[in-house]
Amino acid sequence: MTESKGICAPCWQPVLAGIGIGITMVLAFYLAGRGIGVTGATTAMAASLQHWLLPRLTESSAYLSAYVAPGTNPLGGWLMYQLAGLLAGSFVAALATGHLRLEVLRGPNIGVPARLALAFSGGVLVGFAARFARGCTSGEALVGGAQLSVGAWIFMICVFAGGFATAWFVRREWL
Amino acid sequence: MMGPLAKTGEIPQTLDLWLAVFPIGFLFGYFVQRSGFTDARKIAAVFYLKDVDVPVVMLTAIVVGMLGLFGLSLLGLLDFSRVYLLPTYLGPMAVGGLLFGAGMAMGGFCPGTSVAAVVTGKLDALVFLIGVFLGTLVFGDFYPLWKDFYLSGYQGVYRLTDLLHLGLAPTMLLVILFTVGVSMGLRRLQQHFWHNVERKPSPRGRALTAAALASAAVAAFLIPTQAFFAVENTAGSMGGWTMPWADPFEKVMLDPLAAGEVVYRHSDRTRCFDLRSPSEFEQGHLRDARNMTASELAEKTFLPGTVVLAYAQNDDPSLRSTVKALRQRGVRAFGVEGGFQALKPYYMEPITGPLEKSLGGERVAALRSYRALMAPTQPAAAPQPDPPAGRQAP
Repeated sequence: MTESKGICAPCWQPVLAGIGIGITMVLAFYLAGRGIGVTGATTAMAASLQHWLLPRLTESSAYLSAYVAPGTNPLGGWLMYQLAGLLAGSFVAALATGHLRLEVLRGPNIGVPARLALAFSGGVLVGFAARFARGCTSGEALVGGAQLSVGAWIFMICVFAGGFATAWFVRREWL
Repeated sequence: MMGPLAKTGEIPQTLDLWLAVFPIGFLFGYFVQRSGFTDARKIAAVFYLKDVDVPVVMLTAIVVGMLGLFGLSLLGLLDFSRVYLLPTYLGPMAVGGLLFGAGMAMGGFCPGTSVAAVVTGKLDALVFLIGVFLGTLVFGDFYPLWKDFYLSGYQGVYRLTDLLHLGLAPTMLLVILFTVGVSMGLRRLQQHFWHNVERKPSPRGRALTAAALASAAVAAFLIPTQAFFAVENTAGSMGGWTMPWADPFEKVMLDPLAAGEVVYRHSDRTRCFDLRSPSEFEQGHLRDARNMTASELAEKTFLPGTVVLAYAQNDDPSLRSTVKALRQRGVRAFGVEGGFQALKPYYMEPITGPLEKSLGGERVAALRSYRALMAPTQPAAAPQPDPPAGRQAP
């Protein structure tokens, strides 16, 4: 076991976990002819939520309107089912290993409010950026990477470049 | 059974959705949690080289996914042309990646890991996920501000094989070598800066890795994969024929072969529309084409990224204006030059000798793979399985 000890007690070997996720991806290719992904579902959920609260704004949005157009069922897509499975899988894994706990995980030198503020800002940035990339780490980087897509490899390299460039500014959050 | 099972008709749609829950989604969530990625600290640690599991897991998954995807296709178990392939948008994906990485370092999650973490009770993940929703809505509601950039740099399905001008197998070998090299190098850096790597590579593990790499290298030169992709995306041109996606807005009307190329490259997001009369439509049309009038098509809404291919009987002026109207709304629409009459010899009838001669070998090979997607499926034996709805039209 590598460094994992302090962070998550019995963690899988990264190579084993990677093989597992890779096999899951191959299953998705073989069974459904598509890749695994998450932001497809979160985008549909965000569009539906806004449509429920602010129907006019959403229907007039050139980007979001297509998700909520009459006759479409944004929350009935394949990716939503896959997301439900993801929730169940993670829940079962956490239950089995005793990691099911209400908590805010943070570095030793940061308080809860500051950690949550940074988590929120990071989330906004990630949600925004994922639209430009047409996907996230799973749907774009992993699936596209396996398909040898040039765009996916560029995306992945840029994700790490962006992360390393930002790390210094938020070191108090983690170290 | 020939995959993808949901698209070759081996399994019904309901089963397809249930399989998305289990095993696909379930295993994905299970492995994400078991990698420790529901803990933001573990993900963020990679950016300090304190724990480099994230890229090791990702790269390993990519290698396994790649070997599975292309391996199953080469074995004839998977119809590669029916797998949805991700298109490339160079600039947006680079800039999106940089911002995404910055957000990951701040938040400690990516969308998938945050969803997996929420359900295990991590409140920071919940706050992150709310942020993801907001970021998505900001993008969508202010879309006109960055629409031009969002649609720029489009390259279609652009593979490393095209970029490197290498065959499939050598490219896969390079990806494997990259994965092993980067994983070992990062682990070494982790040990160098933090002295926290407890598991040293064993001589046996090293020998196994070396043996696996050596056999991969041998396989790369033995497997004949040069002809795997029907057409290579060689920087936008093939034998003087400019590919339409070099600049997606350059050409409005495509010749029949280019139309096939568009469908082939975007098989999952192309919608095909037949603008002829219902009776003409009934007598034969491209596979999966929908019959509607030009004005109906001009008003239709599409998901972003959808590619629209429309044809009339011949060169109908209303087709050109419909395509242009769609483009003004940002839909990537194309018309077919010469209409159905021009498509007919390419996709509706057996390929004739003169056509083969005029195209030449390479393009005939390409045409055959386009036909697999465009030619109407042969009706089983006697009764036409089409729904009766289209028949009662005048």
